[in-house]
Amino acid sequence: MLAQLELLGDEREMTTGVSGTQYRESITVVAHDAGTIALAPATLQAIDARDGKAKEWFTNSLTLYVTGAPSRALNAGWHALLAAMLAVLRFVAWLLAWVLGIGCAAMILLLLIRRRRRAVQSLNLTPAVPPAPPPAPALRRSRRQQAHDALTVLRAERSRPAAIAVRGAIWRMVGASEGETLADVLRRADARDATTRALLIALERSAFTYDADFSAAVDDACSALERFIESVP
Amino acid sequence: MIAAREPAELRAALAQTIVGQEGVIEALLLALLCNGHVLLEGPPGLAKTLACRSLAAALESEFKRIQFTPDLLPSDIVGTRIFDQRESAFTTVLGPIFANVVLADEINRAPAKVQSALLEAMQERQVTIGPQSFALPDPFIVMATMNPLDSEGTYALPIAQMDRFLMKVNVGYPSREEELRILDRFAVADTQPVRAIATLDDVRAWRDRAHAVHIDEKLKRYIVELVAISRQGERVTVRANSGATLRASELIDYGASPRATLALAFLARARALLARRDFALPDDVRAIAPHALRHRIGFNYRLAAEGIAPDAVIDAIIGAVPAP
Repeated sequence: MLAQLELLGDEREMTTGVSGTQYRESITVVAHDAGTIALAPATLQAIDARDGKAKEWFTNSLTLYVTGAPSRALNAGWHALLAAMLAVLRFVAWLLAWVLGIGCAAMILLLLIRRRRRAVQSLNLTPAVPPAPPPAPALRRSRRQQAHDALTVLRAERSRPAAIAVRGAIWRMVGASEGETLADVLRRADARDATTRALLIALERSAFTYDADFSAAVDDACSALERFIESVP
Repeated sequence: MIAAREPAELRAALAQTIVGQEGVIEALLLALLCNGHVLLEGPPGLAKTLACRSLAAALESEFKRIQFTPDLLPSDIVGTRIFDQRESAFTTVLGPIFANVVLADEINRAPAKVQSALLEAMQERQVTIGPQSFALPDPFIVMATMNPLDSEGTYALPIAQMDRFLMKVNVGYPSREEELRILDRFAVADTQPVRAIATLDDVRAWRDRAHAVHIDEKLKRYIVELVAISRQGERVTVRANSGATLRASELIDYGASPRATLALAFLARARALLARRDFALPDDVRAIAPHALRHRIGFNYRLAAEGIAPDAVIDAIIGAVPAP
């Protein structure tokens, strides 16, 4: 009778009086599925005290129409989804374990092979793998091109950062490194001719002079760069 | 006739009298332009007195020499009050410190109170005798000498006192060629005295110009870094005679004071002016850094124990800071 319902409570009450005994049973149920629930008539079989005969009493049948949140259906669906996901995860974990296992085995095998090859090479045997070809030489710009680049930058952007950047580039061009002073750079073999010296001095001025003199210093540096470009073959 | 209007011309004039010793000549001129004082350390006979006398003569200024001895009194330097019987009153007799160029010879031969009297006068640029204060002439430049060879019976200058000198210059022996030139120059009986080529007003004007020399922000940071690294020398290494590599911090008790920072900036400006520039360069800072730092860094016993020259540590400190 209550197959589609969940029984939450069952309360029984019996009252005995002059006119007889009254029996009352209340049950509390909850439906987990929406839909129509038909309850069959309840039967009571007892001996009638009035005439001492066995009798049977029937109630009416009852039809319940359940609407609202289909909690059980939802739960059932959710559980099904979780179960499916768990199954997928289990499969993925199994797959990963296999892949890692195979990868580790391959790595160990590779290391063993390499060690063996090195041991073979140390015995002055011919290398198994031909040596890699030397890297292609980097495209090196000529001093003239570098000076020309510096002039273009300084003419385009007459600012202190540009002057400092150009100074750095020309210093690198003559083989000087960051952190050297002008005196160090002028001592270098690449900076011994008068044109290069004049250029280095002009660039030093553009990097360190006061703001009011900066424009003139940049003009001077540009002229020195032009002279340098003309002098370089 | 006085014709020079550039400090570089003064240098050329001094170089005509003094053979070699470019470092001493430059130090004197830089001190003059910075309104500071110089400590010269070197053996006797290296033209230190001649250099000071020539500078005073080239500037038409007054020169005084004080030989420091163990029995010297402060009043022998700054002056004293004497009782004039005729006038029945005390009169003040000013000491030899009242001159434009003062040579304090062998400053470490006099006791601490005499050194202190001189150094206070150098700092305050005035002297108080009895109830009266007397301003020292302007320009006022003290060149003090120390002889490193005879250390017996000397009173070492404390670092705090040495800090008042703008720079300390080590005077070395001349080269063979320079010594030959000395021989030729002083072979004649009468050597040509230095003639005045600038006035004290010129010096004051040069000082103003030196003060106005531009010093770039990058250069200021370089100066601060140089001084800071003298205080935390962990990343500076020095090679000892034994071959061991030591950190500078193991050899230094205390680094340079902020006075060194100021001195480096002043000296860089002055050097730029001497080179006829109105902006300072990293080279200016690096060239004068040893002179501005060597007497301001306190070295410990380990420096001597390892046989390391103080200048080797100074050079390592300067080399550890990349120029901008």
